[in-house]
Amino acid sequence: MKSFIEESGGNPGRGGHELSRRSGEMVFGCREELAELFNIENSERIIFTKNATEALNTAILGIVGEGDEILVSAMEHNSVLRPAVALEAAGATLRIIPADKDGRITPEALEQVITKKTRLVCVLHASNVTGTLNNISAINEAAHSHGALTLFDAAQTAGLVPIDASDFDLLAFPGHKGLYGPMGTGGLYVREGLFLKPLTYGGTGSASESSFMPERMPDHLEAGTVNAVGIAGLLEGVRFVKREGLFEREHELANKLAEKLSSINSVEIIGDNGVNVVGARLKSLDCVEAAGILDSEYGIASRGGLHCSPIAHRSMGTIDGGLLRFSTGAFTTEEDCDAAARAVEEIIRNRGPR
Amino acid sequence: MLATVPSQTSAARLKKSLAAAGIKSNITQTPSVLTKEGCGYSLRFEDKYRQKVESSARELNITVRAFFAEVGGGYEKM
Repeated sequence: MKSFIEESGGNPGRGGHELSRRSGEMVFGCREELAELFNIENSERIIFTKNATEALNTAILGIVGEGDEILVSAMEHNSVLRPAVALEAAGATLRIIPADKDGRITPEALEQVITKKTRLVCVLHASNVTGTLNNISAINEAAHSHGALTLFDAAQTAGLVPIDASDFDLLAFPGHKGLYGPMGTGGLYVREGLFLKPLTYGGTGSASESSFMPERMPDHLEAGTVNAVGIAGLLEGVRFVKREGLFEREHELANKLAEKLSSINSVEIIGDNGVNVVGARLKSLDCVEAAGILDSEYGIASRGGLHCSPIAHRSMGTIDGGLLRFSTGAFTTEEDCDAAARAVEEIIRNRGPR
Repeated sequence: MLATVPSQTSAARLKKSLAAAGIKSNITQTPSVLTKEGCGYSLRFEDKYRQKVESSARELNITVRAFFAEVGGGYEKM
């Protein structure tokens, strides 16, 4: 990112000077790396957004209209639930796909609620609350058999779990999680032939005489200057992820952490942590308070509460108090996991009800 | 020679495909006299590669709006 600012810093797709061209080629390089990562043939079908939330909103609001039916899973983040509820208020029908006891969404559960009117099915690849991993290929197949479009949220999995998006309609992903890019980056894949109403209208550096958005992707959905500095960081993040192949290591660490936590009295692991996320219920202590103590007294970062996913907590029966969530990353060690489990045990012993 | 294409991303895809075939090309902003649509991008390459550029664009589903030969400081539509 530093070298991009120092050596280029031009606005990609705006003007024909060397700095702009160099910047444009870097942004294109990132599209190509992402296309390869998700097995997408044409990198022009990937647009850059400021995060997964913007990508999800672009997809949902660009596809579903008044009178349409939208299905979202019972484990969704507010980034899906809120636009879906807004659409419901505007005359769309919203239905919820139920989750099982681990927070898993199955094709069978989809079959319970899908109808001929269903326009879009939205399911997260893995839960940000429990880490439960869904078989999105099977869900994709089930949705398509009913003529519905699919939108998958890879917020917890992009860069971590292998994803083949070639049969999906839409895939949203953040840049700053498993892809190791900076915050302020994300993207949306839109399959060939699928036309979305843009969320933002404006300059694209192309077809400037027209008062309408160009139909050609990515320009159609990418009005205004992209976050080129962030994308330079994302490009290096994607290369890092491809080089390192982090899933097995991060998952194994998460499993070890879950095992250690579950051996503590009054701690219950919720879900099956199929990725690098561990959601723990503390039966004798407030989760938000525990997260605060972990931070201030042990220097351990975790997140307590509802994780912007109230519908998921309702589904899991953890809406009162939420969960304490940990996640592992490329730089987490086994010692870190030991320390976190020891700290939780100590906090419960010292602060929990006697 | 210039091939005018719909976007800078299209130009970049075409450039990459040509480079894989050993053909050097450069992305350039389309001169305003060549486009009625306003801002746009083109690929500049040696005249002898026109057929290869056409076939690569077809394979990539990129619409080349027009080819222009560079003649005596001006452009001639092909």
